[in-house]
Amino acid sequence: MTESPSFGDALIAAMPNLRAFAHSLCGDGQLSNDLVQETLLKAWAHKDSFVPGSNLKAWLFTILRNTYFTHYRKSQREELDQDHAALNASVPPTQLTQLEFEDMRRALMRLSPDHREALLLITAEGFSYEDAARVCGCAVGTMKSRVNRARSRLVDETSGRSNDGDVAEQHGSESITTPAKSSGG
Amino acid sequence: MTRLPGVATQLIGERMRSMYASMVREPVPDELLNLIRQLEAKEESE
Repeated sequence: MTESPSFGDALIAAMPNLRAFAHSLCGDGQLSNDLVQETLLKAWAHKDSFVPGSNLKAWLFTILRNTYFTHYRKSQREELDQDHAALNASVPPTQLTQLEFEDMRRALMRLSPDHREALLLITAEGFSYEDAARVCGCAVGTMKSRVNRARSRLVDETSGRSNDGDVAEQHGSESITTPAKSSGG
Repeated sequence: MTRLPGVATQLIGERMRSMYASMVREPVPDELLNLIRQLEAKEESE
């Protein structure tokens, strides 16, 4: 009989995805490591609130995105240098050409944070709409709408049909959820 | 809202997943790995 992994082992197993999500959200390699570290510390401090057998990844992603948006709101007054963030990526592309990789990263960083995280959770991480909505603290319909708009925006961006009026959309009125027990796996 | 053609959605999805997968494959810094081991050791010692 195999021994079940410890909470620490589970956190370590989740680290690559946490880092990829954090890096994709903030566009900065160093900041993404800081966000992941803060997420791990919060998760460890509140591990008693995690329900064994439920979706640990969704729980961790909830903590991470809340940590990110807290940071984002604090730094909102500072203009984000999107080009610098895009070029600061430390990950060499392997499947895409360099140009495609940079194009995609730049386009992603020009999405509003809400739309960016929606697209990342659904398209890149493979979350269900229900789990992604739970992570973001919004309705499933809202999540679907955000993904559709994000995809449409990316098509415009990558085909040179960008509309700066839409780019300016910012994370704003919706409440940020606190880390909560996640149901379902 | 205008519905995207399936091919556009598929292309965006493929590029997103490819970019994201390369990020997931990036090695995790030792600092983060050590953090967990330190937390475990601290808990065991208490």
